[in-house]
Amino acid sequence: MTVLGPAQRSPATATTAFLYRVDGSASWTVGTAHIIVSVSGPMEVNKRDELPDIATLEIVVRPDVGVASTREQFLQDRIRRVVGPVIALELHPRTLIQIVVQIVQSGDTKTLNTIALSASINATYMALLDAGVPVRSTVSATSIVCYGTSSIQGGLTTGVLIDPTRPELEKIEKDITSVHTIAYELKGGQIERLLLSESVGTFTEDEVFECYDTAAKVCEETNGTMREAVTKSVQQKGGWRD
Amino acid sequence: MPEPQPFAEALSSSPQLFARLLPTVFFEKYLALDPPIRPSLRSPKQFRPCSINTSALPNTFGSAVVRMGECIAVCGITGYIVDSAEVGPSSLYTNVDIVGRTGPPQPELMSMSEWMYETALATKLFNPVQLRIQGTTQTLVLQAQIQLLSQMYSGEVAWAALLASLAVTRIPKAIPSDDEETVTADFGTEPDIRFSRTESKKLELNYQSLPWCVSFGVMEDTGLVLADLEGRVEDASVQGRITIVTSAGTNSLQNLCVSAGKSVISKDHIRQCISLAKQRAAELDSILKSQIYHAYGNGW
Repeated sequence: MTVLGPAQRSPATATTAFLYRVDGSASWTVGTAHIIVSVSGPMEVNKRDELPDIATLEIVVRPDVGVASTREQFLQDRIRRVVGPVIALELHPRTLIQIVVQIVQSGDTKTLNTIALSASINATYMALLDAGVPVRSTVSATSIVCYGTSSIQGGLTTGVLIDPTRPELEKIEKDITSVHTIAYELKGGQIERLLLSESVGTFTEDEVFECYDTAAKVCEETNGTMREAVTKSVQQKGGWRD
Repeated sequence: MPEPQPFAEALSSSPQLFARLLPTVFFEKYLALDPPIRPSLRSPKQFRPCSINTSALPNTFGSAVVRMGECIAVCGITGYIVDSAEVGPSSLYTNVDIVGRTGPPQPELMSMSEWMYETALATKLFNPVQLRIQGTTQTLVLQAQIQLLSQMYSGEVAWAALLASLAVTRIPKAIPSDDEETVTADFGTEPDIRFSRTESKKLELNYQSLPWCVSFGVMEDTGLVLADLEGRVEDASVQGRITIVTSAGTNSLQNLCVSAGKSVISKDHIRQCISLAKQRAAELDSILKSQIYHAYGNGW
């Protein structure tokens, strides 16, 4: 079994606070994926959706092309499972926190949705920070794609792509053996616990645990990227003090 | 003991009301017993009893009714003909519905439907070459319509119904017509297809032991692993979830979804669940095999 290590991957970039009519916004670009998320709240909620002890979380995912389908519902459900436990919902009962995820470029091939999911989770978290929604810890996510090709000589070459670009995915599309979307919770820059892991394909227990370890290293790097972006954003926002 | 006064009676609530108002507390009271037990009277690692009936629906290529505990799923496999060139990434389309509900589907149902489609795509249950219609450029595409007779969105029961119906699916022989033609997408013509009522061929699956779906919950404070969550109380009280699609007798998995909620899910939890899932897969395989043998005899 090849030992996995953070392979060559394109760095992620984040910008925040560029949408005017919402409380917080963030843009996350990694490889060929580009996601924009806006967060509004805690704000007024209609009586039908009001919850007596916690804030209501509404997450809407809009695709890059076409109308929202079951795929976007799936993404919405997974984002909620990651971000829901991290937000301190009990601090704002009877209010609404509305998150809108706009996929500008999904970065996935037609059959996958892993890149859109991991990039959306990262973008959502940055937007929550920008909006000042109280959160308990940091969240970061990554996509790992494992593939194996049998060469004509009969050997088997396996490889691992981390947060791949769409051309990279299309090149190995036929040989993909498993796809993993993994999100971790971090505190103080250190991995605290696993929040979400979606693994699809054909893989063994050992392979998926190796992916977890690789993802942990990648998520710590992503956390560093988020920290830099937030530092820059706070400096810009506090610019009026000078 | 004296008769309870009307005032005291009004203040004491039935267990059902307690379960509705405070499901988490209700659940923890049961788990605090020694040995821990669940409101459904199952032990933490105990799965629901399962029964499978195949070929119950007429006018389908294959069908199955699967019952696990209180949840029932009915699956019917039908097909439609498309031009080979138009076939998308999958030769199997799944749709999940809840019986008796009107109006637009709930978000949980839509996301379960998407999960089923993606898992069916990734598990490559059968080779689509079997669906080609000989002598034409057309191919059959299978459609699985799954109906859930339960208020809880039970993905593993729907998936079990899909597997069981595919295991008994027979593709009728396609007979291209000599005189009738149909226009294809690129404005050529293809012979009209009709299906034989007598000749059919069994759909060969890529798996000897089928990849069943098994789900678990992990409690927040104690890290206790619960197999096969069911019911409103368990759904509200247990946030940590592990869903595994795997077949018995191999060490490979097809799908592993871990969603921690507020629980801490460690690699040990996952290892434990994988080994329980394989046992359950073996059990479900034998339930299905004995049902098929019972229904069709040894000639299947």
